[in-house]
Amino acid sequence: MRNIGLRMGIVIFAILLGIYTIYPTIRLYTGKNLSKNEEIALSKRAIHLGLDLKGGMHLVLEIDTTNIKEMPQDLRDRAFEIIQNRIDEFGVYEPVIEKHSGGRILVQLPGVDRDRAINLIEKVAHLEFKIVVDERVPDVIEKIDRFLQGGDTLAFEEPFSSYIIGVERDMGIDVRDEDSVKALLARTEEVIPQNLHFLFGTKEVYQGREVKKLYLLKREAELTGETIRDARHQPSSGQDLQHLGSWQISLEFKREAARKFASITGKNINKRLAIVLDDIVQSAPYIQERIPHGKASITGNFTAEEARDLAIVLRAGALPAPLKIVEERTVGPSLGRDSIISGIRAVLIASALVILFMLIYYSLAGFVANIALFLNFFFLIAVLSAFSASLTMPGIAGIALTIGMAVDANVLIFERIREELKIGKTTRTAIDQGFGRAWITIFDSNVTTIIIGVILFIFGSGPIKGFALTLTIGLVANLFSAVFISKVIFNYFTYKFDIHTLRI
Amino acid sequence: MIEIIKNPNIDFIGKRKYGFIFSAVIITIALLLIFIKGPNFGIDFTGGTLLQIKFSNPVTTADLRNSLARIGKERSIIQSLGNEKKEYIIRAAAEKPVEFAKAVKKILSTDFPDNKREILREETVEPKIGKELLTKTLWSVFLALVLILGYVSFRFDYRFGIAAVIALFHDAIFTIGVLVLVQREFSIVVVGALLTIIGYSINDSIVISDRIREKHKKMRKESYNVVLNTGLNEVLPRTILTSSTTLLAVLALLIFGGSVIADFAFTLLIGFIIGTYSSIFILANIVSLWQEKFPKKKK
Repeated sequence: MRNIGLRMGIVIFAILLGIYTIYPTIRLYTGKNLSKNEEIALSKRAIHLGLDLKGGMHLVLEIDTTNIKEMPQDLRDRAFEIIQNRIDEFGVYEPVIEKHSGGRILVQLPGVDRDRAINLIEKVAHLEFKIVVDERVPDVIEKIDRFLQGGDTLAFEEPFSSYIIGVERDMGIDVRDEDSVKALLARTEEVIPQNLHFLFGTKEVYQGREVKKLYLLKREAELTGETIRDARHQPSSGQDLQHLGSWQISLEFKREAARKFASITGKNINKRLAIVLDDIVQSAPYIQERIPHGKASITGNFTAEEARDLAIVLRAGALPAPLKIVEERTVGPSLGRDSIISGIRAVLIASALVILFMLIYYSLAGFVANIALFLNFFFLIAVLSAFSASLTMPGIAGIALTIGMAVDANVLIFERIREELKIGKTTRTAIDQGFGRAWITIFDSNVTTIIIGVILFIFGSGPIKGFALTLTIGLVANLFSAVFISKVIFNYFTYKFDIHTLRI
Repeated sequence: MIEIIKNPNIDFIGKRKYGFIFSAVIITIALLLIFIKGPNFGIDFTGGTLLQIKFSNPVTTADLRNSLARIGKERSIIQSLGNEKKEYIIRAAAEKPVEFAKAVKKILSTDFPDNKREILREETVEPKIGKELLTKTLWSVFLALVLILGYVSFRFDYRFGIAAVIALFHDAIFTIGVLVLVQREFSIVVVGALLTIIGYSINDSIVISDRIREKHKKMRKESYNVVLNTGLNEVLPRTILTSSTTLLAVLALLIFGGSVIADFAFTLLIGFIIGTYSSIFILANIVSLWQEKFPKKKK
């Protein structure tokens, strides 16, 4: 018996090492009453669940450079930083934010409310303070209507003024007319004074219809969001009957901007100051007095969540350019749960079928093959834990497939041993030569499959990587468990019990 | 302890023309399907939107199609999952996938106001990204084939290498043909499955080539065809056994693995079946035909 002791030592050492690396994973997913700190510590050394299993979103973002002349590289870096800040403040557990080739940004967020998260990421959050010029409205509308009548020979077109309805003390439009009004304003741009422009308010319900207010503003902003030092959400104050029960965002300007804000408010008493976010007027309160302390608030019908998210994006700063989602893969939490259950069920049933099959076909030797199969699975999980790899649904498929293919090595070996026994070799020689001859074949066939696995891992996208990972690790573990360990078992038993006839 | 076939001695080589005819027929049909009907490319490659939606009350496919027609997308693919008529996958190629997803969700909330919905899965891929993925995927398949041809030629005779790669194409084309026939989606995951089939098929080819090489050394007096036949017969039990356990695992995946993995498992199932067939009936027969037409002297 050539160094059977040493080989058994190796096997036992490998198993102990495996138990050591698997332990955090088992503790993390089955342990009860784990404290948050324990969980974090364990998850660094445990298998992670992929987004498709725990639910979450995978986004690839691209910067929309249509109106930008800046270097895309710098833009991307700034956008990246801002998104990172926003997500940090939003409080997502284990987010992934990476820069990708082609100026893209990858964002992976496990278990979040999709719409809210997208809103948080996509919002440019360009905040401006602009003076409303109510006094110029009649004049500008008249100019537009005159232009429409004169310019269009058909002259059947509805005048601009016909779209306008009164909303409280402001002018507004019906939401259904929004597109026509936008088109009309775009066509009549030349008669609107260059230093002014129209902007819409948020959607609201007024006297049973959906409307948007329309404001005429100075084009140039008095102040922008960059001058903000802090933004916090808070419930609207008691006197504000219109927004009772809703939330608002209170802003604090930086010192320089606070001085400027004081002077602007001082100069424009009894005028309105519009707070404009991404070209939508949030509110346009009257300036009643000079505001010296550099504080302002954005009111509107915000829910607590909306106000909180808006405060986050304002604190993190505006994106340098709009972002476009070029790829999204979102899995809801319930589908993730279903996937785990069906995945585990498939693996268990596959294992049971294969184990039964091997037992019936090879009896005692089948038992050895099943031990090897179990160890194959064990080492696969151990290696995944050691790398704290992500387990995806295709990854689970890879495990099931590994189980199906893992017995191939044992089948090759057993068939060889049978052949050797048939031509009259002794049990021990048959075992030795069976293993020896089969080894070359097993090695060759595993190498080619591993080649495929590595290619899939390098070139495959998202979920496929998970499959490639489990399949490749599974096959490498297979060489160890099906060949090395089963031979140790065979050698040990034939040696110890002095077996001369082998039923295989 | 069982033996499937005691000392099998089937004349595969003698009957090779049946194998060739059968393969020629199925491959021709598969190619016709691929080129005439065309693969049903998924949104991974075309760009588009996929929504998996679960309603709280049953809905019919026709209802959904009517709703989609109102936003001009009646040609979307609507796939019902399970038997309860509650869960559906809506899938369509779209120039602006994000807008399309929004439009679908909006029209559903208008048309089914009292039927609560949960979005189980939402995927949008810009056409540009789809094109990039396709190029990347084709390169990876090409690279896999080259590496495998290289490895097999290095370890075995180049004739086995080429025969093995022919068998690979045979398996891949047939599997794609079946996917086209049943209109399964051709997604990135399916390509992964095809590569796995290639890996599996080559695995079988290697085991058989290996045995034939060994027999070739031992049976110097026998004719080449007898050597091939003996090799094939000797590994036959192994081929059947391994295929059985692998198929058991894949069947478990297909039946119990859930909707997300179903296309993947289905592709594997078809590929593994044809892969087993080709390793018995195609590989050695190509080598034997080659030897007859262009004999190579025994060393």
